Amino acid sequence: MKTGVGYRRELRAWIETRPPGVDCLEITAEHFFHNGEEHLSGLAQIFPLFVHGLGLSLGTPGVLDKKILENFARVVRIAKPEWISDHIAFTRTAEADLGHLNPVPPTRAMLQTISDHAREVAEYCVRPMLLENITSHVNLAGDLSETDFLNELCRRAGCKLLLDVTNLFINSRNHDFDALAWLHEIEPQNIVQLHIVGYSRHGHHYTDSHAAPIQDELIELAREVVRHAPVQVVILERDEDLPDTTGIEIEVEKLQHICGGN
Amino acid sequence: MGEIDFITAFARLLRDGKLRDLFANNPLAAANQIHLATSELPAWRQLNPDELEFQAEVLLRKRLDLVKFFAPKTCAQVEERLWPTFREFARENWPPENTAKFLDAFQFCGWLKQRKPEVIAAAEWNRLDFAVSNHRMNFHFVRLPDARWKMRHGLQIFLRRRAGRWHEFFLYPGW
Repeated sequence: MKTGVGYRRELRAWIETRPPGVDCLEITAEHFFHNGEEHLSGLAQIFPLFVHGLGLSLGTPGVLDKKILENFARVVRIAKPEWISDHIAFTRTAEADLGHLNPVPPTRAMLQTISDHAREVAEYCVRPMLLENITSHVNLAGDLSETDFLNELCRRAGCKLLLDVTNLFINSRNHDFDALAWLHEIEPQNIVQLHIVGYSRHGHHYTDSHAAPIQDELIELAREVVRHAPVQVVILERDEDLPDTTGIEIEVEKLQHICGGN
Repeated sequence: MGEIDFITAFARLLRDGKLRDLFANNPLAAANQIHLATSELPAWRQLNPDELEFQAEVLLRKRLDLVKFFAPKTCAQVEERLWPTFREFARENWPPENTAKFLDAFQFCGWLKQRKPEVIAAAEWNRLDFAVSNHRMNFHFVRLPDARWKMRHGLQIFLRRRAGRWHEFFLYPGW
């Protein structure tokens, strides 16, 4: 099992020291849409890369945004990742860009929309595609349970899941369900990559600010996922309030603990 | 006007505070106002107004992060009232898609300028004003910190190339 970090500009100097525990990097495609090709190419020579998208908006009915897809594919060609990923979400409609990931209802119509889009992206980029669960503060009703929706989505789209352990934990707390029961409803072979970062709290709400150290209960949940599924990659997804080198190394050590170390 | 699908309607709810207020009071009236397809009504009716408001605030906070990036001094000068002030502005103002990056900060600063002109950082306002315009060139006299962080009067110059990319320069007299 590989462990790694989401590549952020602020971590560049540390990453270039090839720190222990960082076997691979996940790059955010949108960070390289307008520049940084040479840098990305350099990174690809040092680390195995995975390309993660934020803005393909797979849940928007209708056709994919061709310009975004072309930019995404260009980044993939340079990074040469083993697989690519984006979210089970929408970020825009024909009318407006919401600038962030929003939930989709677990309906049969949405299954069709996302699976068609995921297949199109995978074929265009010539790479296997993973789909990631998001945090939602809204409970959306549908024809299927969320776990049935995800299992069926994997079948129809020919995809696997990038399970964000933090998002699962946050949703379970905000919407009062059992995260372990949810996990065991997911077909194990579907889960091949994990994201993890500490959660934050605003009053009674749990949020994914990507700004906190990984808490113990997240490590326990992630260990349970690793026992349940053939996870191949675990990525630390820290974006805000990045700690110093020692702090980030402590976070990477937690990933090793998740993978079976002490 | 044609009927709209659930995702388009949901997105409208998330970006329009007035529509959320109407939804909280009368979901059917809100659905009629935006011509939601009848087949989407069951899912629409099950939305929870409090959850919607929280999800919408997550989006507003993301917008504010970007506004702070483009107008840091102005935002700092609003101090601890920044979030409620931005929320008041942004709840009913959503920037159009393609120009959202600068336009949101420009519109927020323009809105602030009418209410609290003393918090506007002139150099930031000039930059945003140029960014959202089509001008080829512009310049302003402003007071800015120089390379030694000493406040000085200088000339803030903006130049736009044919491709649309633009550059900003400062000239300090006496250098």
